[in-house]
Parts: sequence; structure tokens; C-alpha cells
Amino acid sequence: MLRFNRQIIPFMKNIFQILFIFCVISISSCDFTKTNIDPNNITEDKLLLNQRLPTLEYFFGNVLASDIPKTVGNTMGQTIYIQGNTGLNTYLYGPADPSKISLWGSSYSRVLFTADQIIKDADSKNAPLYKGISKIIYAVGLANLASIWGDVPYKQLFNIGDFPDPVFDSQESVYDGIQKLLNDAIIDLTNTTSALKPTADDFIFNGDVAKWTKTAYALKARYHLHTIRVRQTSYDLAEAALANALQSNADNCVFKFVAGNPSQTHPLYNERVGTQNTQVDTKFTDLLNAKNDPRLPFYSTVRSSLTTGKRALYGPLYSSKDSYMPVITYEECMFMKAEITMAKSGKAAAESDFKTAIKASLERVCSEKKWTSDSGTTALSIIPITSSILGTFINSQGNIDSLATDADVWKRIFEQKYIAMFLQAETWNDYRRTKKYIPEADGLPILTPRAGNALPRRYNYPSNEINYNKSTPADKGIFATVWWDN
Amino acid sequence: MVLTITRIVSTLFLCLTFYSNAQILIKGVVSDSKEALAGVTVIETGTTNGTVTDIDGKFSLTVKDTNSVLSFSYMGYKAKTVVAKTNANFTIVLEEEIKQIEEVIVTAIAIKKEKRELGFAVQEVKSQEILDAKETNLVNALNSKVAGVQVVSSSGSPGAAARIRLRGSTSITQNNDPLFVVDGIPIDNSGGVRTRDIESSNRAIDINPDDVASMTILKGPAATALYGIRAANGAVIITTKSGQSGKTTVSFSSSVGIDQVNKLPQLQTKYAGGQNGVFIPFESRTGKPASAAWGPAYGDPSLPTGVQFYDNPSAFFTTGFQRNNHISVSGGSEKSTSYFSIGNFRQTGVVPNQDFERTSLKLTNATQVAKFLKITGSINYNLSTATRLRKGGNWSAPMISLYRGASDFDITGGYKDPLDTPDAYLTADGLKQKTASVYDNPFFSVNKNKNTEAINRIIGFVQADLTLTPWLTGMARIGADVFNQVITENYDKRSAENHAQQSFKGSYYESQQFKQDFNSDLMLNAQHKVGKDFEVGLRLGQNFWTSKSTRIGVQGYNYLFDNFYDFNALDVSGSPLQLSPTSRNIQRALMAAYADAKVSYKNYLFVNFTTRMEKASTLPANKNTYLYPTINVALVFSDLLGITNKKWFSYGKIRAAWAQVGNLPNPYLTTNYYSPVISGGFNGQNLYAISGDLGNANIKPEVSTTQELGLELKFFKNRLGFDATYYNTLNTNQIIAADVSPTSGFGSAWLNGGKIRNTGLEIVLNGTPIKTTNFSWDASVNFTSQRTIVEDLVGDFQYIGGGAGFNNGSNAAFVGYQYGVLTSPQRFKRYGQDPNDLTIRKDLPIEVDSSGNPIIQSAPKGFYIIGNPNPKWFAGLRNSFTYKGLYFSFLWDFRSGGDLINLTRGSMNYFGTHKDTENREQATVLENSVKSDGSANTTPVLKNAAFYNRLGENATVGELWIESGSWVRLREVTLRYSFGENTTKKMFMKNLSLALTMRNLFLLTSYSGIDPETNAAGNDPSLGKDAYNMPNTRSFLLTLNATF
Repeated sequence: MLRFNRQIIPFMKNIFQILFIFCVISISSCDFTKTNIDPNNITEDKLLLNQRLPTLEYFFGNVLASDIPKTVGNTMGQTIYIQGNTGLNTYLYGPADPSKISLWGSSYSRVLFTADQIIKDADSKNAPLYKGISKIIYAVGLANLASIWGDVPYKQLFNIGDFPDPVFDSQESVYDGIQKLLNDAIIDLTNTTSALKPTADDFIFNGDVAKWTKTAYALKARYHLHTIRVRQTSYDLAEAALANALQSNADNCVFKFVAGNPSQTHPLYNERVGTQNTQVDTKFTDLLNAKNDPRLPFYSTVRSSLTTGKRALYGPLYSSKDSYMPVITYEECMFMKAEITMAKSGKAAAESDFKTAIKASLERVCSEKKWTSDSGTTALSIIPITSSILGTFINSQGNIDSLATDADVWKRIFEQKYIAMFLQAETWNDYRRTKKYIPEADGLPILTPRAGNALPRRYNYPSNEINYNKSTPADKGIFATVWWDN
Repeated sequence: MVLTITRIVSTLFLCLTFYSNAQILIKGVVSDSKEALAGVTVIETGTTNGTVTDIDGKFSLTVKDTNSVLSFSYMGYKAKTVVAKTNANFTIVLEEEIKQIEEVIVTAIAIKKEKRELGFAVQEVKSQEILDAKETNLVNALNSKVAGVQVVSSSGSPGAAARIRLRGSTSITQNNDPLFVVDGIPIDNSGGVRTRDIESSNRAIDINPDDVASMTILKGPAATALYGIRAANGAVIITTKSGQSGKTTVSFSSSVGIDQVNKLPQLQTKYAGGQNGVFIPFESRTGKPASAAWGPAYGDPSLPTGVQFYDNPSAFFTTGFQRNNHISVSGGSEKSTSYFSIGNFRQTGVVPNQDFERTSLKLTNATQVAKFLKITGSINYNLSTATRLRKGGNWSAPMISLYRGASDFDITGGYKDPLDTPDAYLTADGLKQKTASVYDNPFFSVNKNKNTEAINRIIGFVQADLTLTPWLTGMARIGADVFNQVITENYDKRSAENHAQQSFKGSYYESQQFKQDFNSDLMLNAQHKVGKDFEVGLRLGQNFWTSKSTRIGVQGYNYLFDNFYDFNALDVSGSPLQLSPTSRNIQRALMAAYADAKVSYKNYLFVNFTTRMEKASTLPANKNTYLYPTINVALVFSDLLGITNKKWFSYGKIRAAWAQVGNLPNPYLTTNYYSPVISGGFNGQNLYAISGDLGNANIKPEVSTTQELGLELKFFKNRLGFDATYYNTLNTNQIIAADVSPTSGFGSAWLNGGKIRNTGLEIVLNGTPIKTTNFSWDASVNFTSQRTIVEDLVGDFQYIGGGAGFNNGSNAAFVGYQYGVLTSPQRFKRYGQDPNDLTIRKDLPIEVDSSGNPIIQSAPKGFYIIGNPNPKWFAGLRNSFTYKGLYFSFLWDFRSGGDLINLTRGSMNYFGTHKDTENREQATVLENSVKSDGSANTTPVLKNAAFYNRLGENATVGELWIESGSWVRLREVTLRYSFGENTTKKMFMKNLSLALTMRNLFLLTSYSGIDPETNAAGNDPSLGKDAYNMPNTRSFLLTLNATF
């Protein structure tokens, strides 16, 4: 028995040693690198610029068409929640408000991030036109964030490895950054030597460099005018930029959706026929009704409801399947011009610019197709608004020269701009800026708070920032004013 | 056996040489401690002279002389010897021999071990217990039977998924499911997660409980060291029935039963549909608000005739039927055994037109082809089919229509059989539904919106067992689990789903998935005795596992014809072709080598050490191999102290184990990928965007370290057993798709970052209080108390699991709190509460504003902690009584704690349909409230639409809807009669029995909605959400079993 052990045990030891080594070797011989490569999706090296630009514009269009109307539009009394998060109607904002989280998140992780990727990629591939367009879109996205929230992260973005907690740059420095982006874009757009040129992949302008350049100048003017209360040079800088901005409605910068599946149609179409959480605020439609505004049926379809009185659904202009959403329009340029002229030279000089602005807005809006039913699925023939109706309206609203005081003029100008900028983010910027002109009224008199004594002046930082970015400053609340609102 | 043979031989031998004359007669009676023993062998030692005691235990034997020795022997008793002497009458009392029948447990890789040597907690559930549960889904059969195991079935629908956790959940994004192993082959238990709002079954449902011989539950990493990473959350080892050598046995079982809804939410019966007290006609109810029940009271003159309360749920829910048939043939010789079975199960639901059917075929054969080689092969084929509805908040879901829409409309249309009468739910022209609200008429929905699932599955293996030398054995096994799943989903063009999905004319989706898992094992096992007291064993093994899943799906919208859904029948007039394909292929592989060394001393001290090296494909290629050690020790201290098998104390053992194992990341997250943003592109262009989660090229596996201590005690000759286990598991390097700030460019990033600690106590008590010849009473209790705390986490807070369509009441991991706490973004402001305290302080009064309405606070970080869905403890208590041929057993299930958020109730209050809202016209002061200055609140408020409007449609202020999920439940009652031999022999049967089973007979709970055993998202990390979940059922079944 013992001899058996003496022979067997060493033998056993050897066998097991060999076997264990075999096991180890057999593991190491197995190569798993190919197993962990996703067979259904591509990696970044395969991606082309003419796939990235349409993606950027699509994300951008969605922010303008979905997030902004439901947030800024609600705060500015143009849209209202009829179900779902109705607390937002009375400014019960909290960090967990999904609509603000979405606006913040989409702007950063979709619009700005994609634009940033294109800028870097275009640099390496020498495609300055792509760089220019992306910088313009980046600037608008960033401006939405900064104008709404105040201090926001800008310099330390998209590098979670080096900057896990991006600092919040001052609104002032962000605005300087925006102007620089637009200036650089204008320069990039002059460089047409590269073979890589956007065409059909540029949904907005089909690669038209001249129109993009005009858009950049118009945006420069817009963002200069935000700072009129804190910088003296704003008017002159804006005026200079406006000289090269949009010249007619043909230059309008818009993003157009298509009549297809729910991801392709205008988000407000989806909202009107599907989710139905928000609709147009009847106070807004009442305002237009009182003025006999020809734009009313395009903005909203008003119906009487058995139980709640009136209901104002989104109208054909912005909730048909293939509606568009403006980025910046000719009428906005003319409103800006009217404002500058009024500020510098007085109401007489400003009247013609003002009337041009109103006319441009009416022509843009009222050239859309009207519906005869609420379905909004079939486009009907254009019913032209007669020039006499237009003329009457323009004269009745545009005759600022005959108004008694300057304050009345400012009220009229901004009232018309508020109506023309329906569902655009500029309404809130304008509202806060009018304090310069009408200090005692604290903004637009036609706009009264739905609750409390005042309208919000900014949004609080959303929870996905507070929870995950340690640099987020303590929130000052929705009535605290941002840098240029002082 | 040997002793007897020796005795016979020696007596024969001696007989030839020995002969005596002086004989005396010995008489006596033999008994044990209680009664006389018949059939005791009485032998004059050294001779062939002997007899046997009679029925009264009496014997008489003539022996040689006074020196003769008599020996008494009887099975189960210690043999006794007495010298004849001169006593004519003996009174012999025999002592029972308590032979420790060693329990053999099937552990990892179909290795059988004696329970004695195991240093970790293990529990077994036998075939009869599984069958008596009469559950469709094998996972549900484990409910309330095993300490540490929590099973939550998602509903009572046929083929519903069940969520099983051994020792709770410890991973935030990764797998928390145990590994399911069938005959040594790990199988797929995917599915059961709510995808596309339709729940599929989890794949363990394909296993026919009639074919299961036993299930062993291995909890904790200590027990699954041999399965590695895939079994980090424990393993459910299923052993199927196989052939027995001997006479061929044919078993037949047949059962029929009915299912009924056991609990439903409560509707208000006083108010009609409408808003602000104004009735809205049915045709105008084209949106959610218009479908609410805030109209005038029934009987109000403004109401049209015929508008009254209709108990639509009673008209709609029906009795479900189930039937099950199973035949098995088993037999074989010493060399070869076979088992063959065929079974068919079918169940229809309490919701009409819902069903589940399973047909299974099994063939197993084990043959000893040579002395040293045994080959075993098994094939298990399964076909499962199901028909289902959409769940939860979808507008075609029956629960939404019955409970969120007003009840002032008769969904039966006045017909006796609305289910089969289209006129009951369709207008005469067939163009529209007849419905009370914007939601689908339930009868329309079950007829026209069909979702089906069909799975063909084969699980099989071939195994070779080699006996190289008496002390060295080897095993090689290859197994496969292959299935094909076809899913179809559609909603009719008249369904309300079109409205919710933006005006398409119907939708049809079809997908095919093909999944193939292959598993191969190679093992060498050596056992050797060293010296007198030691025994050593060494096992070396190699395992390779690969899994590949291919899924292709096509989604089409806008169908031309009413009842014909095919991709050739799409309507392209007016809008472009709406057809979009998706495809998803996923592949993973694991390779492992392990060594398992065991030393035992005197068969009472066992030390077992294992180490496993594992290489995984989903880890970064440059670092994908990790080493996981475990050690466990078992000491039968009663043997050591010599106190085994004493009068009242029979057995004592202590166990200690320490183990480390990992948990793997999902495939393909080591880098970033780009995928199309929209199906069909946009305006003729291709849109690609980066996937939302930032990839991590340095991702590491999660590491789970467990310490476990156990104590096993048996008393009163094994009549009472006690087994307690305490464990402490720390799970670190949590793999999280951590929510990150969007300034990173992403919504979430894959990171290792979190520490979760899971501790618990498991106690099993079993005993036989009464045992006589004809009657016995067995009782067993299993008790579990678990606690999982999030100790550290990236970002301090992460959401867990699927939202199941409702964004509130989400589960979260928040540092310092239990895993999976329920959260909501708003709460009532309470007087005196620190704003940094994120919990709900029910002891403080609610602050109201000047109108008497509660003030609502928004969480500064986006969430408040409103409840804890984890039970404090849960237990199962079984009592079984056997009297001759009768068997009566009942199983009680207790649960203490475990909050649910009753989103159904919150939503029903918002829409005015819940019984709570019957008080809508009585203004009352809000309970437990004060004004903002702390003074008493005297302003009454009406709990009407405006009141609930402020609380949010989907319970944004969730604290109101948190209810306790405690329960006392009579889960199983079985009454079985086994016919005696007289009857069975006449019918040529070996066994015949008839059983009556009642499932879920009685439920005592304070939860106001459906049965609190429910989970909105099915088999998902989330828990505790009731969002229009389908109700649970109680069942009554009759089963006939016959063996030939």
C-alpha cells in the first residue's frame, strides 16, 4: 500500500501539473477580440461628414420645434399644459422638471456635442464649410442655454476624462464666445476651396454659403441686442451686423420636417394628434382675436369645448406634418432694425422698418396652407390673404408715429414682435430686455403672470446637472436675474 | 449484508462439526420502546437454529443448553444477544438504530455530494413539491419554499414571467438573475422583460415541471464557485428525471383546473363620465381628459337615458381553464437506462383570448458501454406558444379601459356573449369601435389586437463518464440550448393605439430570434484516502461557453385590410411606405479553468478550496482574465464531540465559507458605436449619431465577496431539524451605465463605481411532530430576512430598472439607503421638516396654503425617497398530514413590509374613477395638516379634479400612493388520496392517486389594488410598481396520477 502511494503520488502530481498548465494554455489560446465587436453598428472611423451634418441639423430642429415651445413658450404665455405636468403653468418649476432636463440635455449632448464633433472632424479633413455651418448651429444652441440659464459650462465640455465636473462659465464670457464662434464661422464660410461641400445633406440651406453668412450676421445682431442693458456698444455692433443680414423672406433660416413617420414629422404635429399635453394658450389667441390678426388661424385652431369652454390647438403653420421651425427670420431682422432706429432716432424714423417687419411676418405666416378641418393631414390650397386685409392690419398696428409716448411705441413694437416670434426662444429674451425701455411696467404689459406677482427671469439648473456635476453652483432661483438682465 | 453472509457461512461450517444434546426451551417476547415487534429473527448463535417472532412479538426456541447465546436482529434496530441461562421467559427490548442516511445533494455541474461535506448553504426542492404547486412557470413553483429566495410573478396571465432573486439584488445594471442549469448545462432564462410593452415569458417556463426530479438552490457565490461569473447571483440546479434500472414504469398524470381573478381595484359607482360636473357624450371622448369620470352624479337629469354604472370588470374577466397531460416511460437494465416523456399543457387566461400552451418531449438514455465508460445522452424538445395583450398604460390594455375610463358605458353592448359578437363592440358599418372612452373596448382589444409568441426549443447534451482508475474519473460533456422565437405584435386600424401612436392605420410587427448557446465541460476527478483518517480529492476542469443571438424584426404601419396583416398589404396612398427593419446580433463567450481541492478528516471535518480562472469576451481584450478563489469549511462538531445520535440531540454541524466571484459587463461597451438616428433616414439623408452611453475601454468586472456562516442542528433522532445561515456580501466595482452630466456629450457612461452590501439571515426549521404507523405530521418553516444597502455610488444616485412606461415611482440606488428605494420628484411640504431630509416624514403635518390645499415641494436633486419595496422579512410555513392513503398539506406565505407604489390608484384618482373619489363633493379639511405658521388648518378642500390635478397625472407626488405590500397568503392547499394496493392491483397499477389542489386560495393584505405580488416591468431590476398591472389569480385543480 505504501509503495503504491510513493509511486502514485508523484505521478499524480505531475499529471495534474500538466493538466493545469493545459487548462491555462487552453484559456489563453482563445481569442475573444472579434467576439466583442458589435456587428450591427459602425465605429467612428467609418462616419462621413455628410452623415454628421444632417444629424446635427435634425437634433437642432427638434430642440427648436419641441423643447423650446414647451418650455419658453409656456413661460411666455403662448403655450399651456392641459394635462400631464400642469404645475408648470404656474411656474412650479423644480430641478426634476422633465421639460427643462430635456432642453438642457438635448442642447448639450445632442446639438453642441454633434457640432463639436463635426468641427473637429472637418478640421482634420479640411472642410471649412462644414466647420462654419456647425459653428453657427453651435452658437445658437449655446445661446439658448446661456440666455435661459445664465452661467453655463462652455470651456470644459465633452471631455469627461479631463473635466469630469465642467465649471460654469459666466454668461458674459459665454456671450463673447458666441460672438467669436459666429465671426469664425463667417470666415470659414468664405473658404470654398475644399472639395467637401455640403449640398443635400444641409437641410436648411442646401449648402448655400451666402445664406449661411447672412444668417451668421443676423445672429450676431440678435445676440448683441441681448446685452443692451449692460453694454453701451451693443446698438452699434448690432446695426453693423444687420447690414449684412437677411434681406427678404427668401433668406429665412428654417428647419423643415417631412410628412413621414413620427420621428420625421414636426414634433408639434405629434403633440397635437398624439400626446396632447400642451396646446396654445387661449389668452394668446384672445389677444390676436382682439386685433383681428390674420395670422390667428395659422397659429392656432380655436374650438369650443363642451366642458372647458375654448380649446386652442396648434394650427397649420407649426403643426402640420411637414411644418418648419424658424431659426432666424427676415422679420426678426427688421424688428431689430426698428428697435435700433427707435432707440437712436425716434419713432418717426422707425415706423417704416416696423411696418416692413410686420408685413414680412404676415407674408411668411399667411402664405401657408389653411386647413378646413382639424386633422391637419391633408394640405389644402392656399387661400390668399388679400392685400387690403394686410394693408389694414399693417396700418392699424404699424402706425407707431401717431402714438402719444415713447413708452407706447415700445409697447407696440414688442407686442408685435412677441406675436411674430410665436413659439421661438426670442420671446423671453425680448420680454426681459424691455425693462430697459419700459422700466415701470416690468416687461410686456400684455403678458401677466399666471400665478404670483412676476414672471420667471431664468430656469433653475436641472437635476441631471446638479446630481452629476459637482461644479454646479447653488441655484439662485427662477426670479434671479441673469447678467444681461440687470 | 456482509455480516449476514458471514454468519450463514460460519454457521453452516460449524454445523458440520458441532452437535449437542442437552436442549432447553426458551420463550419470550421482543418489543421496542413502544410496542411488540413482529418478525424479529431469533437465532441460537453458532447454529442454524432459529425462529421469528409472531405478531405479538412472542417466540419460542429450543436451544442446546444454558450456555447458548441467543441473538435477536431486526432491520432498523441494534442487534442484541443474551445468554440462555435458565430463564424460560425473556423480555427483550430492542434499541432503534439511527442510521444516518446521508443526504446526497446535486451541486454544480451535476456533481453529487453528500450534504454533510458542504460548507455552504444549500436547499433542495423535490419533484412532488414542485408538482403540487401546480404552477405554469417552474420559477413560481419555488415561491415560499426556500429560505433566501424571493419570487415575484408579474401577474396571473397565462405564461406570465416570474422574477427570482436568490439573496436579493446587488447589481444596479447587470444581471441579478441566478443561473439556471439543467442536468449540468447552463440554459437561457432570458425574456420576461417588458419590451415593446408586451411581456414575454422568461425562458425557464419552457421546462416542464413534470420532467423535473429535483431542484437544488445554491445561494451565494460560495456555492457556485464552479460555475463562475454566470452564477454570481446563485444557481438553480435542475435535475430532470432519468431512467431507473429494473422493471419498466409507465407514469401518467392528467390535471384540469380553473383560474379566477383574486383581487381587483375598486371603482366608484356614483359619477358618470365628463369634466367639471358636465357630461361628455361618448363620441366626444377623444382624449384622456375627456375620458375621465368627473361628470354629474348618476341620476342627474342632465344625463341621457341608459347612462348608469356598469360593472364592466365583472363582465369582462372570465374564468380561465388549464389542463395538463403527461406520460413518461422509464426503465432499463444494469447496463442501460432510458426515460421518455411527452407532455402537453394549456392554459387560458382570466382575460379572454389570452393563452399559453406548452408541448414537451424528452428522451434520456444512459448506457454503460464498457466497464470504464458510460455514455449519457439527453434531448428535450419544447414548443411554447402564447397569445397576449399589451400591458400597463397602453390604450389597448384592458386594465386602462376598465379602470381609467369612466364606467358609464356598457362594454358588452347588451349582448350575452360580447366576446364572440362583433356587433357588441363594433358599429354596424364596422368602421369604429363602440367604446366608453378614448381607450379600446376590451372586447374589441382581445379580438383585434393580437400579440403572439412561439418558441421552439431544444436542450440537449451528450456526456461521457470515464473511470480511469478506481480513484481517478473523468467527464466530458457537450450541451446545447438552442431556440427559435417568433413574435408577432399588432394593433388594429380602429384601435386607440393609432391615436396614441399618431394616426397610423394599424401596426404589425414581426420578429424572429435565433439563439444558440453551447457549453462544453472537461473534468478530471481524483479521490484518495491518505492514512486512516484523511481523504483528499482534487478536481480539475475546463469550461467553454458561447452564446449567439440573432434577431431580425420588421415593423410596418398602415394596413389596407381589416384582418389581413402582411407586409405585402400596406397602404401607400397618402403617405410613404411605412416599413422598417431592425436587426440585432449579440455574441458572447466565456472560457474558464478551475481547480477544486478537498480534504476531509475522519469524515467530520471538510475543507474545500477552489480557484477559477475566467476569461470573458465582454471585457476589454487586453485585460479579460480574472482569478476567483473560494474556500469553505464544514465541521460536524457532534461527531467530534461524540454527541451524534444521542437521545435528544442527533447531529450538529457548523459551516463557514468565503468566496469571491465576478459579474460581467454587457457585450460591446468597450468602445463607442454609431447607429442610425431614424429608421428611414430623414429627407433622403443618412443620419448617424453616437449611442447614448459612453463606452469604457477599461471596464472591469464587478467583484462580489461573500462571507457565510451556517449552523445545522438535528434533534430527537432527526425528528427536528434547524438550519441557520448568516451571510454578508460586498459587491464592488459595480458596473453602472451611470447617469452623467450632458456636458460630457452623453446621457450616461459605463463606469465601475459603486459598493453594495447585502446581508441576510436564512432559517429553515423542519420537523415531524407526530409520527405513528398510520399518521404523520410534518412541518417546515423557512424564514428570510435580507437587507441590501448602497454604500457608495458614482454620482451618489442612479435610477434602476425599466420605468415600465410611467416615469414616477422609479426605483433608485441612493447612497445610505436600501437598494431599489422608490422615488418621486415631488412631495408635500411638511411643517418642521429639514429640506435636506429627502424622506417622507409622516409624523410631521402637511403645510397647506391659504386655500387649504397642500403645498407641494419639488426635489432639489430631482427625487425624494418615498418607499422601500424590499420586504423586511418573508417566510413560508408548510404543514403536511398523512393518514394512511390520505395526504393533506397547506403552505402559508408571510411577507412583512415591501412597499408598492399604487400608480393605478393614483391615476384612477386623477381621472375620477377610483372609489376614493366618491367623496368629491364633500369638502373636508386635509388630514394631518397645518397652516404655514404652524397653526391648525381649518380650511376644507374638495378632493375633486383640481385637487388631483396638482398632484400630477402619474402620481408626481408619489407619497400618497405608497402602500404596504405585507401579506398573509395561503399559497397552496393539497389534498391527495392514494388508492390502496387492493384497488391498484386490480387495475394493474402500481400507484393511483387523485389530488385536489388550491392555489392562492386566501390573501390577507392591506394593499388596496390587485394582488400585491406583482411587478410592472416583469423580470427586471425594478420592483414595487403597480401601474395598471394585470391581476393575479387563484386556481382550483384536480389531478389524477397513475403508475403502471
